[in-house]
Amino acid sequence: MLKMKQLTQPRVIIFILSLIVLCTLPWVVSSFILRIATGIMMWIGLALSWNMLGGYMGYISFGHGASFGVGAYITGLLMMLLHLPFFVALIISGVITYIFAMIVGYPTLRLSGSYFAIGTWAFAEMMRQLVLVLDTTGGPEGLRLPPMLNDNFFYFVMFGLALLVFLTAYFFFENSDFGLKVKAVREEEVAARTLGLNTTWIKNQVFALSSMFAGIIGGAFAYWITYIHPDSVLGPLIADQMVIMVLLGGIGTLFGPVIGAIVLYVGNQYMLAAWGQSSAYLIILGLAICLVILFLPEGLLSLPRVFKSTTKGAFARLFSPPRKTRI
Amino acid sequence: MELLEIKNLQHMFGGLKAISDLNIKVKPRMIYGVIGANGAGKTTLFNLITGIYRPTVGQILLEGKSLVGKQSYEISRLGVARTFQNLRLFNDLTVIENIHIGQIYTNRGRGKNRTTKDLPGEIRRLLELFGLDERATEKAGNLPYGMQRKLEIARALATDPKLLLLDEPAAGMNPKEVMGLVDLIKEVKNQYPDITIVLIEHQMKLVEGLCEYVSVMNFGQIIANGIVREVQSNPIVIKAYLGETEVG
Repeated sequence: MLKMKQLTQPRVIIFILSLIVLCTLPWVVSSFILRIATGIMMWIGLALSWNMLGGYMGYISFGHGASFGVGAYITGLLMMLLHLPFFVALIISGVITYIFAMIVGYPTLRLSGSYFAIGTWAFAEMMRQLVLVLDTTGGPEGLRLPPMLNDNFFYFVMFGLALLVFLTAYFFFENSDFGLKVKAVREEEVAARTLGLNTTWIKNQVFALSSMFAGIIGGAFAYWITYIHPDSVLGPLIADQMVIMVLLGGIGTLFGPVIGAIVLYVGNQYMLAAWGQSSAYLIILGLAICLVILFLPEGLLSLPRVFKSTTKGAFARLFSPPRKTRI
Repeated sequence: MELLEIKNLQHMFGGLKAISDLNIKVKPRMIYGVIGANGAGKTTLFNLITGIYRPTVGQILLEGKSLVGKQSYEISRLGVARTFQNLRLFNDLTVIENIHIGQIYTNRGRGKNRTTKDLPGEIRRLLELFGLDERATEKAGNLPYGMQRKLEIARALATDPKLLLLDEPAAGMNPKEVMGLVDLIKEVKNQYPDITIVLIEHQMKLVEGLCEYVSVMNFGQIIANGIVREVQSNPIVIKAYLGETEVG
């Protein structure tokens, strides 16, 4: 797929250089920063996976946290009950969330717009309640995983997963016929169908694929944190944060979710360090969403463009004499 | 053999008969017009042919094969393409991408003896034919209205159809643009002689200029068939359009 000529393009060189820098990170920064970097990688992966569904296909889901939680719980259960090694459990939980999403997607993808959002949110809530009452999952007590205290290991796992999701988004959604088909579903579903696109199949695949990535990342998160309970992996805030990160960075773009995840996660961690556990974060989060939706609907990614076009106007207004009112 | 044959078609919306007992035969390579007042069931007919609705009763045959019960995308892959009365373009995608999406299934799944087309060349040809080449990389939503209409026809043609259904292609156009569209459709027919076109239209100018044969619909039924001039002087048609004449 890649030719020598493409490898020497500036953006490819920048990409490879940044990969090298990110690979050396564990030996450069403190373990505190490394944990934050791991968290950033995780959220980049999650935001990008949500963006496949919400951005490229235009199906806004508030239930994506369910896939994350299901992946986390399945990895945990496989490791605790069947004593499977981590990577085997991770792959199996990916396959299971994929199948799970196909089943969930079959009825919910018949809905669209806010109905789809509500439908997926209801499914997520259902999963949370289910995990709360089941004995195998530990109910409200949660689930403990075998501890593994190697920060570098988890950094590289999350980094690898984020990279996998990023490359999938790049090759399958940005630069392929499949990506065009997905965008066609977003733009005009009926027209897409009359052009020979099997939209039902496309929607199901995108839903399952993006859920699978969320599930795998959830599994890695469970092993990293070693203790999960219904609210920590199936709470509504997980899906909400994915949505907000994508909206903040720029929906339907490749780098928007990456930027949104970095900004939001760093902000979150900073507030956590400065004020401790408080609801101030949620208030500021809500305020940030309002501001972005009102003034920057295309997200932070469009900021340079918007700034360029409006500063000229603002300066002109500043230095020109006040306009006389016409009668 | 007829390319498209519709037998005893009936479609109900709840208790309302939108189409009742409709029969149409369209021969290959013809330009066929369907005219009729608003609410006569013309767009419903197209929606039935393209699988957006399922008929309550009746048969729709494309080259003898039944289309009833098939999904829209299957019907498209069998060679039926359409445009919409209210434009349904992929607004946020470029002109080229719009046409390219139409092409995705052209070389696949239509029997092995079909020659594969040079797709990039075909895009260039369509862009030129429809005068879209200068705005090829612009977003479809930013094009002026007339061009959007043309792009929709180009996108439908990109699927390499046997049957092209045009749903009011001249809607919202001024008389000059309508004449331009007549010439354009003639040129399309010239360059793609194997295509059969069925079009729905209100503007008689377009129908007169293009169609060899027309059907007039009223309240879900066909009330007259024939060559344009014949139909225009048919008293039943005049009655349907203008109401009963009062002598005096």
